[in-house]
Amino acid sequence: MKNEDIRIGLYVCHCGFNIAGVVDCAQVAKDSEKLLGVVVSKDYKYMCSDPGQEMIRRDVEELDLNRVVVAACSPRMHEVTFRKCVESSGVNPYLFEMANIREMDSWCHSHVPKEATEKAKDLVAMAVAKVRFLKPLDTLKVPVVSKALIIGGGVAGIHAALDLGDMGYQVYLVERSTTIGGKMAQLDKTFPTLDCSICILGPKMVEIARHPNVELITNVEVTKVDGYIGNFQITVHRNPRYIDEELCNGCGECTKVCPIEVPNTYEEGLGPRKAIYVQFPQAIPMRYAIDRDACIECYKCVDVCTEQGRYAIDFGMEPQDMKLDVGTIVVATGYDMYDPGFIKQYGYGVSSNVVTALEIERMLNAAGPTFGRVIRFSDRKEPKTIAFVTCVGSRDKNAQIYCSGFCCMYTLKNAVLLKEHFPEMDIYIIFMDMRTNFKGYEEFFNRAREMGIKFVRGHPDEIFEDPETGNLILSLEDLSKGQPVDIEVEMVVLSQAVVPSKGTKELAQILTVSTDNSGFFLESHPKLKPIDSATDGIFFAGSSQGPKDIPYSVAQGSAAASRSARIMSHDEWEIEPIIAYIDPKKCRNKSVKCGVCATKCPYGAITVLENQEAIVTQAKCHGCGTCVADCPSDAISQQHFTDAQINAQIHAALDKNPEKKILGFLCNWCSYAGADLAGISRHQFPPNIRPIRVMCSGRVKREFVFEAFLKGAGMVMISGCHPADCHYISGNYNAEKRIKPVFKILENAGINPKRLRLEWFSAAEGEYYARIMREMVDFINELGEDTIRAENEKAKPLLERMIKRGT
Amino acid sequence: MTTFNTTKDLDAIKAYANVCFQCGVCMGGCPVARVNDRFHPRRLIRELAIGSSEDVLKGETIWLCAQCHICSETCPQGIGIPDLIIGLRNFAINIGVLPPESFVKNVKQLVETGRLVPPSSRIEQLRDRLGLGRIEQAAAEEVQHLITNTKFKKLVNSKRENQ
Amino acid sequence: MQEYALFLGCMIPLRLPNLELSVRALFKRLDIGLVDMQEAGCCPDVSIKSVDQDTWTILAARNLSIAEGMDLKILTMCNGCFGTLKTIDIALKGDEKLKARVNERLAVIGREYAGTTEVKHMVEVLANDIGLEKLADAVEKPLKGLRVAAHYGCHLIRPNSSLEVDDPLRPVILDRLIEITGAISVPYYKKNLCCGALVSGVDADTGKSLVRYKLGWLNRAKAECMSVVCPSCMLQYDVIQNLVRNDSGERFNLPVFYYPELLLLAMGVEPKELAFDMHRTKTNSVLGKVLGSV
Repeated sequence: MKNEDIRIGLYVCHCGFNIAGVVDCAQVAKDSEKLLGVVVSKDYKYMCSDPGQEMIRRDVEELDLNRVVVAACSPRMHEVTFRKCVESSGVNPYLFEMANIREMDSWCHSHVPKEATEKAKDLVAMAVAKVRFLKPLDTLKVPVVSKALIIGGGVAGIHAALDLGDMGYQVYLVERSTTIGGKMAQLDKTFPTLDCSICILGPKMVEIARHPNVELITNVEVTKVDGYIGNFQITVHRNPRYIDEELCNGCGECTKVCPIEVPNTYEEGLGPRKAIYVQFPQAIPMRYAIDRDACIECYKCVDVCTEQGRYAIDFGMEPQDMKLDVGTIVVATGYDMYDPGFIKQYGYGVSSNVVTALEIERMLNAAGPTFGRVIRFSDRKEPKTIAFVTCVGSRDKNAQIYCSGFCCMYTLKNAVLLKEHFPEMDIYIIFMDMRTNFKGYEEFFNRAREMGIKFVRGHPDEIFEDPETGNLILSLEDLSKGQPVDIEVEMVVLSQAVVPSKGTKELAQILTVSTDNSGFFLESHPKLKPIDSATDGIFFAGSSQGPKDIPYSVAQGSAAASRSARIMSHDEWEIEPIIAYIDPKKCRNKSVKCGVCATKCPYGAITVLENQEAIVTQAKCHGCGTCVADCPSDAISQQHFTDAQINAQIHAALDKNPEKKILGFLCNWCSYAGADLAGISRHQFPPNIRPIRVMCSGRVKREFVFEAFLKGAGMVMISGCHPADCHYISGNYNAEKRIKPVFKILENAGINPKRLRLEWFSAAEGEYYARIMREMVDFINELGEDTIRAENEKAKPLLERMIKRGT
Repeated sequence: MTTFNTTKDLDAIKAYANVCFQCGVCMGGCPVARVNDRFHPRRLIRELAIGSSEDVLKGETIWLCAQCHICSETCPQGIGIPDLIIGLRNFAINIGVLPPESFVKNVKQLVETGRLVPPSSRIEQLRDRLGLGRIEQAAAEEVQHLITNTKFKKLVNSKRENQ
Repeated sequence: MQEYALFLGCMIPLRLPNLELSVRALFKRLDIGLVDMQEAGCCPDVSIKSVDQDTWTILAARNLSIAEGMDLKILTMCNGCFGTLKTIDIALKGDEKLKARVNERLAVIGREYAGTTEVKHMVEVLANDIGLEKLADAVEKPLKGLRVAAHYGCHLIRPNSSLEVDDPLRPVILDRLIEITGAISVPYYKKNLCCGALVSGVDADTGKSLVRYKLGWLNRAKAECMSVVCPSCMLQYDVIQNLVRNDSGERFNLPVFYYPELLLLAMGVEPKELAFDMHRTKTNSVLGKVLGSV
């Protein structure tokens, strides 16, 4: 399209005062009128609103616009919204670009409105420059497999499975242990109603077993996930039960004759199970399993099973890998409890009568290891006095910094249950705060106080065991009195922190989803997309995403089912056409053996046959751009992120006063999101950075770096996900490999190599981003414009040669 | 945990006090607070955060800390209270507050002999009896050269009215 | 023969020379050489730190440089000396800029801090360098189940980020050392409680109350004596004990031993060689029990 034919509509959003409170939107709109291709330039209060969108539609029609730029919030917020708007007005939705002047400008530079306004003009110029080079694209349509995978059979996973199954979808529910039920199955009663936990969960578990659409696979781990939304290929590794599930009917004769007893993890180690076992009486599937580590292979179980005529035991069972094809994945892997033994001064594991919340839960349970008696481990006697300590390992910079959410409530519940069973027992709850924020919770707190449970506001610095009596002395300040006190009790229950389930980190890498700073799975948006992961088609439910109670987990289970069904209810799903395409004329594999692109692709999306041009399988390409950057013949291009488009942004960014600027390449999934978060959290830092969004750091060519310094940049930053967490698996590795030699090249050219930075940080690290921004600006100021200009000047010849050589 | 290497920035000290959420763990372990209700580290931090730092600097509280570091090891917000208190002590002396007599005594002794305890014939006799050699006063001169901060000079020359 | 630079400090040589005697005697028996750091002065004390931290840093660095000049690791006999010297040594080793500033000042007296020595408390040398096994082998007259209350003091183990000797709130090193003598290290409430030495000078009543409070819990735990590893703790518990009374209005009469004294007794040394008469709280009860005589 010739330049005269490009007609751009530019809209600068106020976003109420969010942007306009800092950036002079009218001025930005006015100044940007002169940008090449801009036909109309307006500012408006709320572009995403109906009238805002209507304005775009009207202008497209009346002014014959064929491209649109909206300067507003982050594209991760509203790119989809505006693309739809543009499409509805008849313009191809990919001829649209956003300038992020909120998260990356007004929100993080609110103290310097003038500079923020200048930055906004740059960001708009960059977006306009890019949009001029954009090409119309059609979305890809991929078929959708109407099956869902649910990882984790706790209360959240169970509800997700039942909802999806009821909707008619085929569901694979995979569970790591030998039975579903999760932590809820271990509880005695649930707050605030004091429902018996297994009584309300049990029927749901049975429903799973009976559901025609739910296939329950237990004793498995997910080991590999390939594919993309609508089309995931899952590999699960099934550990053998050594019992044939078809032949076993759960009669339990085998367990009666087994001579081996080991601690039962279901009972928190307080009670035994046999080497051939089910975890608890309501286990689903009600099939036995053999713990080979404990089993002595006496075969008594085999004898008795043979007598029964069932022949269900098979010591020869091998682990097997199963392959499942699904359209969506729900991750409901739950939580683990923090080991309070780490907090040595509380004496857990050393003092006999200091127990954890789950341990007392099992004792309170009438079917538990003590048949409902709560007893001290030192003398098996019931305590006359007991203290509950909250926030053990939570809200603690020495352990977990977050609040574990439901411990206040279960502490109250256990105390209430104890007081009901033993009205004469002296019960203390030692607490810093009481977090009772949902339906019926504050009322439950009232009930606890009415029952005469003693609430002492404070936090113990240590718990000492008197060796003679086994009693415990808690040292703390009674905050209400304002005095230090020693409270002596016969038993202490610790409400310890909740931590991510074991294996979360590894599973996150397998799924290519992110975890947050505390190790829980990271949702796409904390407010508006709490169920979605950043990877389309993968959803979170329950405590895997952060500690939560049962109703919240159930709600999220159903929500995840809904989000999955939203996709699976279509035969086809649209995928963004941000994929690689190879110019067959430029591909040199025809004449010389190459194939570099195929080696770089983590998805196997490129096929390279001898003496033929390399070909991209569109549906498999995820759009990282690594092959684009690594192709030695420059034969590959990435739709919507072409070299021309990126170079246009570089030029526009560095047009004025380049020496003060940091040209940044930020990857969509981690670093761009992290930078957004910095703005959302209102971290402040100087406005020197000019960010360019790429899908992956792997897209960044060396030539972009050279080009930036040629155009006078003060610093260049390339950022991506943490090393093992790349959304495209290996994009950041390839980026690092590719860019590492550039430091030396720059040094040889006369440029201080510290002016190039490689940074790896996650979507959760807004504070980190703000910090490194301040660091980099300090560095630029330290060097000074003159030094920077001189170095750039000196480097010119070498940089020009490097660019020529690359193309 | 934090250490303060400069005494200059009272704001930096207050910034640490800000994160305190008043849980009182410091009070539980504090030896002095156990036996003396005039020392209250939690209230000290609160006063710094939302009250009068001048009161804190001019008060007696900051001199009562035993520097045992139990509080800083147990504080869930990682506040280095003993180090904070040292910073406040340095600052207080800067603005003219006189430290306790025992501190002044130590300063005077250090400047004079390089040690906290003066030599005496009694000790020499004791050491003799135990078969231990003489204790040299070798450090005094170098120590005097190194103590260039004028605060020390002021303290050495200070005289207390009563007490 | 393994040698250490002995940092003398102030309290031990000039107030409690009998503690110095026990250290020299013990390490001689263990075939470890102690070379006095003749030119060293006060570590310096917290009262100096309270006036000016920079001066405190520089004076400590001066002491460290002396040991560096002797090419030996430092052995300290006092928690305060250990805490000060090690904290500064670690701080300087981790901060080039601070080190440069300190050396600028030390240059005035012709010294330099290079970061080439290490600071150890005698308890570390005994338990880690020599080893509990070797010490246990040297025990000839085990202390027959003597109930000892171990008092670690504060600056041996805290702040952990600087010192890293043992767990800052549940340490075990001194308990192990006591156990190898044949004695029992009794558990007791408020084992971490500071002796109060640094506040005693400022407020004598607080110092006394702290001693009284601690000894009360020791009584409840039925301890027969205390073991300390620092002269300031020694002064607090051995001396000030006599200025306070228990709940029944009586003296506590709880002997306080400096750990080397206990180990030496267990190694068969005669009490008269260790000048127990210099203890303010009579030690007869314990000596009588473990030796059958005084």
